[in-house]
Formats: sequence, structure tokens, C-alpha cells
Amino acid sequence: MEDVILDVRGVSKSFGKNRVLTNITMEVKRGEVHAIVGENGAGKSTLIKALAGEYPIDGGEFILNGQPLVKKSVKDIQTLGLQVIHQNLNLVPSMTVLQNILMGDIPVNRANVVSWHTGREKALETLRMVSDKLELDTPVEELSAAEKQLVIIARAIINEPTLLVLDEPTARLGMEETQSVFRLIDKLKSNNVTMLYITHRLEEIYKICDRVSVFRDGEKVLTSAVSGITQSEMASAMLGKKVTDVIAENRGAVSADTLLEIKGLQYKNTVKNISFEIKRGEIVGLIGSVGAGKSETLDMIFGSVQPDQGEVFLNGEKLTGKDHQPVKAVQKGIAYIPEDRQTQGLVQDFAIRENLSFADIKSLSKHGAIIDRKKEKEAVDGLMEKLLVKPPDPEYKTSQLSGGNQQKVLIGKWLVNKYELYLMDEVTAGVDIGAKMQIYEIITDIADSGSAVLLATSDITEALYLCNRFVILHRGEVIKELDRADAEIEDILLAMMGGGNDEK
Amino acid sequence: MMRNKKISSFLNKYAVPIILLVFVLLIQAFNPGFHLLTWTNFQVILTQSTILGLISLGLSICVISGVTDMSIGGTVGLIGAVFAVSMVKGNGMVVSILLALVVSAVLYIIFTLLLAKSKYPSIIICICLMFICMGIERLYTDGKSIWLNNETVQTFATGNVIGIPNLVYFLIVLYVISYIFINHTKSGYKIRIVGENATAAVETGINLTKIRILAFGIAFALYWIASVLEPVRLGGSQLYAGQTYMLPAMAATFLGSSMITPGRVNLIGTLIGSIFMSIIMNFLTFLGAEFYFIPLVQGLLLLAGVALGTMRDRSIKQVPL
Repeated sequence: MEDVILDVRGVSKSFGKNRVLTNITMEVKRGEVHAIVGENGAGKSTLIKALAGEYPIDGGEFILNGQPLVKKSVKDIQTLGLQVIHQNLNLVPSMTVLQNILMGDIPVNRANVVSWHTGREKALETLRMVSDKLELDTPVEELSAAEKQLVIIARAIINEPTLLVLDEPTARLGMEETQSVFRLIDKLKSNNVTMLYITHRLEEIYKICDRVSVFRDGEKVLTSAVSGITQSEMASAMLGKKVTDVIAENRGAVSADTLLEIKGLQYKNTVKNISFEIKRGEIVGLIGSVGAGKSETLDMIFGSVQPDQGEVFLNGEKLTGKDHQPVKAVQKGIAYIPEDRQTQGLVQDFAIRENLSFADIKSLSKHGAIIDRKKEKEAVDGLMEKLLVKPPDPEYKTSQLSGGNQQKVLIGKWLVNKYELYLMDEVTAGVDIGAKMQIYEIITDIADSGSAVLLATSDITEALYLCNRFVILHRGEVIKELDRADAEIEDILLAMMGGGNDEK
Repeated sequence: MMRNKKISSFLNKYAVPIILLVFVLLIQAFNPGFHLLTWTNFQVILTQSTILGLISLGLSICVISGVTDMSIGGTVGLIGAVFAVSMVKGNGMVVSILLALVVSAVLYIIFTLLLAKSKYPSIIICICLMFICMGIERLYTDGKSIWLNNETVQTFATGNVIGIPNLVYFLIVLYVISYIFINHTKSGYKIRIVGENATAAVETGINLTKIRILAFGIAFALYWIASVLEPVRLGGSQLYAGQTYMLPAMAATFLGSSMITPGRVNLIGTLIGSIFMSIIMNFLTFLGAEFYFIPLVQGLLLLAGVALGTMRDRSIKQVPL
């Protein structure tokens, strides 16, 4: 029998009514590098947090090194040999690299006084495994995101884990740093460290992993040796039945009028030289995985983030300086539907009516000051019917609506008046299938009325269903532009993961 | 190059204390009658700084752990009143001090339970506790200030050893212990980690609740000592004494955060801030300033402290409107 280091037995987890992990069963063999892949929201990160003891689970169990992990604290689980490198960069900014690396086990001398000196040698040795450049005494607040990522990796491996989980460790790294992380993984593997490797980049799996498990909608759909599966097969498993569900819908011809043009947009490390244009009546999909630069691109068009370089033209008019701010953008006809509806787009305590009407309250007012209740009622009633909000009561409190219905209200508030360009960021994230289809209908209506939509999404099925054209981003660059007619789902998925170029 | 870097690092740490010192010297220069620079007056100021310094120290440890404890406005006064009333009733020194300790412990447990077990915003918990304590203080003292009239206490309060007033030893000893605790022990580091990045703490296996309970425990122990020393210094417990310390303690803490480790609350900064605030209050009394003038000045200094502290914190990003 092979030596199993981690045995996951029927693990389930829900957040409220939302089921995020369903009966996950998998084995991780000692000494292997095991990849976990899946779309956003497939349950990968939740599984890791549950494994690390940060979330309690509803059913099933984890057995690590022969010990069940039920109700053990984060610290206890770490003592059993698990270390997790999380996606987010949680370090203590005012402290040095040295102090952050040793945070989990602060060194003390005999008098119980903290003595960083004691741990210095080991910390340096560990740091050199991930980077030749970083210094131990630099305060972490002075480091770049990539450097912080390397410090977090060092913080995890200094405790000599037997099972190391890496949650997208290369998402923020450049080519060179990624290579050094791969070398590190090889080295750890030769020291018999087992690794769980979560990634969105399929090409990485072939370089460093032995086996791969594919997750979809909170379930594990398959586990296979990496040598026995192709990238396309992985992609199909990730997307599941949805691939065949997509009806190639060819929307009518689009006008030749260019509405928006962006040229050479650049922002820090996240967006590098992005250019494309959008015509009236068009739905353009801005596609890419997390960290590809989608949200940043939308922010720069809307003016909530100022680009370091590059230009934005709306109707041929260049937006710069004072003209390039959210308030002006709205006046010029740009509506922005952000990703985080809980905090950014809706006032949770307001009634649906109030949320629908406040964005355009001026046009619903008499003499520009007093709200015209009759006009407001007409507009709101019309929208409620169009949006099919459940329950159909405009006085219902927004916070009590389901995610999908909140999303409809968020889009609806920009439909009181017609805008020229709708920027949408992951509009259907966390929305159930029924509401999703209704939202798709609303988006199609917007485009049919002559406005344009720029739809940032990491859901390819959605993009295929809605868009005329796709702009695919990878690591902040436009890696491919495709027309709907030419697009195959696998092409898009591979381009998104940076793997498309290898196949050509 | 090297030299420039040294100068800028020196200014980064000490610019604010230097400005405060120049400010104090200017006050002295224009008000020759103030006698700040005489040892006798400085002894008085240091004694005043003791109470404020210890309250600020407790508050600073709370802030370092991530919670700004505004309840001091009520808790400190109540603990002091309980001590004073017990003394007047003839319970004796030891019993009265222990009684004050019991009250501190009860307040500590209520405070910690509310913060750790409820999801109410900490600012509301603090304000409620403050006003509840003020109410109980008033009931308990019948709305009057309590005078001790105790000779032993008076001799102790005015005495000194090798020129340093007795009370000031409390300040020195407790600051040294706290400084070592925060900067050189495991638990001290954990308190700082929890305050700066709670998620990072959880990910590295630090027990958030445990660390906060520890930090609040130390703070309330310091409030207890300060609350007992306050009536000892004054010869009695003034009604709402706690409230008069809340603003200056916050100002001292946040002024302190603009020096030594700019942008972060630190104990040496708090000590300097406390002494500075005492000098200013002493000066206002010297000028015979009206009672309403004092909170005005204190409020402005608190604002200045917060402004200087956040301005110099590189980790806070400006959100453009």
C-alpha cells in the first residue's frame, strides 16, 4: 500500500445556504506534488482554509500523518507538519523580513527574552532558498508585492513542514521569480516534502506536478496522473457539462461607430500596455484569471484609478486630468457595476426603490431638488418588472435579497437613464443559474438599445454566451483578441492560463 | 549619501520631540514667571505625569493590540472613587487597594467579554462602559469629591527619595517593565502582530482572543495602579477624575505615535507625549485659563497628534475623492 500523508474523507462545508464543498474525498501521497485546479469559486481555497483549521467543516474529516484534525487549532495542525502559503499577503508591515519569517515561532533566549539573533542563521538560509536579493533587516512595508510573496514562502518553509500547501504562489510573480519558486519546489521535493499546488495556470502543472485533481462547483470531479491528461481534457473537466450547454448565439451586426478606444494603458505591475476599442451596440468580454488586470483596466477607463501611461477616448474625445474622474465619467455616460456589490454598489439598508433611484435622483426630481414621487414610482415599477426582482416589492430591504437579486438591483440603478457604456466586473459571481439567465437578458437588452458593454469576467461560458468579441488578458497584457465566430472555448481557456501560445 | 540617510532617519524619529521641546522652551522664554526649568516645578510636573503616563501606557498597549480603549474616561474615575470612599470609611490602606483591584478586575472581565464575545463595535462598547462607570461613580460618591485627610498618605505622596518624588518611581518602574515586555518578549511581539495584521497572526497560529485578553489585562492593571495613585497624589478623589484624563491620554498616545517609530504607537513616544501634555496642562493652570479652555487645547493637540501620526505612516494610502 502506498504511503498516504493526507486523507480527505467526505468533507463538506456551507456558508449559510451556500454549499461550497460537497463530499470531497481525495488522497495525497507522501512525496508527491499534487495540483488542484478549478474555476473561481470551485472551492479550492475553502478546502485549504478548512484543512488549515481556519474554518470549521460541516461533515467529513481530514487525516494528516495518521492524525484526525477534528477541532484542532491552527497551531496544533501546524505542529503536525502542515504549512499553508495563502493567496493574500498577510505580513506585519512595520517588522523586518527576519521578524516576519520567524513569526510563527519567535526565538527566545534562556531568560525568555526575544532574541532574533538566535534564529538569524536559519532564517537567512531559508530566505536564500527563495531569493538571492532579499535582506533580513528590510522592513516588510518597503517590499514589492512579489518580494512579499517570497517572504511568505520563506515563513512557511522555515518550519520544515511535511505537507506544504501553495495557493497560487506565482500569481504575483514575474518570470524569473516564478522560475526560482519552481526550483525551490524541486528542492523541497527531493527533501521528501509533499506539496499541494493550487494554480490557475495549467502549463505550470506539467512543469512541476505529479498528479492533478480537478474541482468544479464545490466537488472534486477527477484525479489523474499529470502524464495521463491533456490541457484540453483538464479544461473540459473544469467547465463540465456547461461546455455543451452553450448555444452559440450570434447577435446581430454591430454598428461601425467606435465608442471607446484605449491606447497603451499601463498601471504599476498589474497592467502593461493594454489597447483595444469598443463599438456601439457591442458586448466585449474582458477575460482573464484573478490578477490578470481586468478590474484595474475597468478602473482606469472609469477614472477611479489614474493610469501611469496611456490614453482613453470616449466618442473620440480624450479623457484626461479633471475630465477623467468617476463623477465626470458618469456625466459623460459611463456606468460602472463593480465586483463587490456588498460594499461598493448598493446601500444595504435602503429599500430596493431607494437603491434603484438614487443614482439618477436628479432626473427624478422637480426643479432639481425635490424628489418627484410619481415619476420615481413610474421608473421604479418599470424597472422592477424588467428586472424580475424577487420579491417584486420595491419597499423590500436590499440586504434581505439574495445575491442574484441584489445584482439585478445594482444593474437596474443604471437603467433609469440610458448610459453609453456599461463597465461590468464579474456581474454574475455568486449568482444562481436562474438569476444569471435573467441578468444575461438584461445585458443583451442594453446592447440591443445601442449602448456598449465591457464585461470583465473569468467565467468563459458567460463570455461565450454574451459577447461579440473577446479581449483575453494574461498577466496584465492582451494575449489574444478573438471574434465570437472564431472562438473555441478551449482556445480561450488556454490563452487565459497563458498556455495558448505553446500549442501554436 | 550615508550621512544624509542618517540625518533623515534621525529627523524621522526625533523631529516631533524636538518641536515639542522648542515649543516648551518658547513658552518658558515668553513667560518668565512660569519657572518650568526649576527642579521644584519640574518635580511637580513629573508627579502629574505619573498618573497621566500610566493611564496612557495602558491605553497605548490596548491601541498596539488593535483596540482604542475610550472607556478610561469612566473606569479610571470609578476605581479611584471606590478606593477613596473605602479609605474614608476607615478600611485601611491594604483593604482599600484590594477593593480597587476587585473593581478593576470586574470591569476588565466585562470589557473583555463584550469585546471578545460580542460583535458590537468596540467604540460603542467603550463609550457605554465609560458612561455607565461615570454614573455608578456619581451614585457611589453621592456626587461629591471625597477627601482622604490621611497623614500617612500625604507624607508618602509628597515625599521623595534622592530628589525624585516617590510617585515618579511608579512611572519609571512600570514603563521599564512594559517597554521590555512589549519589545523583548514573545507575548509582546504577539500583541504587536495582532494589532497590525490580525489575519497574519491567525495564519501563523497565534490565538487572537488570548493575546487580546492578555493586552487588556495589562492595561486594566495599569489603570488600577493609576486610579489608586490619583487620589493619593491629590489627597482625595475628584468627581469624574477619569474624564479629565481621557483626552490628554489619547493625545499623549497619538502624539507619541508621530515619533520614534513614526506612524505607530510606541511606549517611549507615549511617555514623551504624557510629559508634554502635563507641561501644557500645568502651563494652562499657571495662566489661570478658564475651565473650558483646557479641553479645547487638549482636543486640538489630540487632532495634531493623529494628523502627525497618520501623515508619517507610509502604510496608509490616501483615498482620492
